[in-house]
Amino acid sequence: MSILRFDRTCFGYARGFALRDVELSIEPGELVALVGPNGSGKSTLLRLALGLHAATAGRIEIGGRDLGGHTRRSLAREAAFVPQGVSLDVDFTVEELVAMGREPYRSGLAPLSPEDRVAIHAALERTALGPLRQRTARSLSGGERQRILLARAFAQSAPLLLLDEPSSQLDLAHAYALLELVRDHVRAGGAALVAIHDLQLAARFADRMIVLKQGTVVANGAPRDVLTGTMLHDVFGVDAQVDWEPTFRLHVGRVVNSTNLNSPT
Amino acid sequence: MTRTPVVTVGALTALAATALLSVALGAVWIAPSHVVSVVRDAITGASSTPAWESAVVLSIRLPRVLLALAGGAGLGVAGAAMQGLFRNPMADPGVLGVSAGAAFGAVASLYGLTFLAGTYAAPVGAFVGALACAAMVYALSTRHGTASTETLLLAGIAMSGIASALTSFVLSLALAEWELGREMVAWLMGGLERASWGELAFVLGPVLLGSLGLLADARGLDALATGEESAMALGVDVPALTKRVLVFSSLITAAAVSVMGVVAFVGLLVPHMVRRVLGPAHRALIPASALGGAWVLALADLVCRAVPGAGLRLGVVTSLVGGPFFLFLLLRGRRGLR
Repeated sequence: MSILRFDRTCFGYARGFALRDVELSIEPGELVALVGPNGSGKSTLLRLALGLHAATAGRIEIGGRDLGGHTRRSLAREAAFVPQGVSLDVDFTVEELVAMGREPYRSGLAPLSPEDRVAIHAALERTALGPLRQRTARSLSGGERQRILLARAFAQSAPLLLLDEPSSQLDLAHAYALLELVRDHVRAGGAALVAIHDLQLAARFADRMIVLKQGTVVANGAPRDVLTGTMLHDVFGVDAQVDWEPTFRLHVGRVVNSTNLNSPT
Repeated sequence: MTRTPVVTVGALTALAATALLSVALGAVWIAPSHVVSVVRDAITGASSTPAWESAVVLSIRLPRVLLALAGGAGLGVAGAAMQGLFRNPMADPGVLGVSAGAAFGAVASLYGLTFLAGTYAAPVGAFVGALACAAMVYALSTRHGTASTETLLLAGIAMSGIASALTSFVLSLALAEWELGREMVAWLMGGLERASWGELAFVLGPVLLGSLGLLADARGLDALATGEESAMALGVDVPALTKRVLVFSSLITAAAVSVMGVVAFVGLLVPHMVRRVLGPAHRALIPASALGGAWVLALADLVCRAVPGAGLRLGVVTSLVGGPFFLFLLLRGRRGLR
């Protein structure tokens, strides 16, 4: 059973479609990279999956249930979100922030249950935040704050992770470490859909890549099949050469077209 | 947090001492030990204290001090919740125009409806005006069942301006009648001299109910501090949370302001001070702001009465002390407000 399924899903703003007839499914054990130029609809797609926007046509299923049949809480037990550009400029401690991941399991003023504590502890350990648990987020670096958001998503114990540009603010080592953690989650039977600009990282970590162009899925498959010179030309507007041996390498030549990439259709 | 018990005990002690001193102080000094005896007698039905002492304590001073505590607690809680909801340190209990609406309701009612409501003209008018103003701001800011916090803030500022202008208009109409104008201005500057057990009961219900309601949303407000979308993804129904917090906070503030008049800075300042000591988690912030607000208001009322003949009014004291203190917090070390 798919963890996430889009069935001819559309989403439109007043000026036109932001997403058109999107078909995709994410299976357990898959790390799927969502790539495409700025404004191609990656963030919109993640927001639709989280019920933050309502689709204008088509269906979305999460955990085998139609999105409309979910409450906020039941959805939060199926899918956890690591948003983009959250500065986390707050005085909450790391532990308090990670404990927020248990929100979908808590009610009223009841204290944390033993299961809550186990999940929080595990999330702190996996992300190596244990030693920082009493520090406030404000006192930590950008890389550490991003790890807090991931730990909070882990504490949600949801099978599906949705990440919006998790590596955009991170240096190389932090970006790799973060995606390693996401891959661990997937190996343990979860799934992840990661909107990402860095094709190098996407090629290295993704089991599958979905390419969006102007709100439409134009490619969906193994990185080796998807990351081709033709695709880079058509979607990203660059002349580029792709090597796969010994590892993925991208040689970008000239920019063919940096304008009108995202003109509304 | 390990500081919480220490801080709680300290705050309760300060609160009790201030309240006791406040009941003891007045035109005639009644020793704190006598105050305790009067209260004990009232509970046990004994009569070990002079009748005049028990009359002064029970029918004048005690309701006044308890009203200060209840109203101050309400303003503290409502301020903490509004700052949490709007994620804005400038938010105070009057964000939705509650205070300005209350002021207009009070003067309009004093001007035109005294014959209907008698001595309760000002509080009843203020309560209705406050809630009407909040409801209008909410209705104007809501599209498709959700209200954006920016629109709410701006609409609240606009409605406050309109209500203030209308208040001035009614005041100018009333200037010809000296007694009436005097009564209005006194209400606008805030005060507790007309406190009674009836008014206390009127405030206590909304403050208790609203505070418990806000406390139940403490975790939701915490999650909101990391962003609206984050909170939604964590399972918090943000539109429903927004509605509940606005209703409870406005109810508390309307009740408090309607019997005390406009008392500025308590709801703005107390949550800031508490946050610095206990951190941002609302589960501690909300009850601690109740204690802090109660203490600050009891203290302000004590100052008003300790300086006889100076004509100090409650709202004047809180603004004269609160304003500079707010500036101090703002400018100290340039860390800004949190």
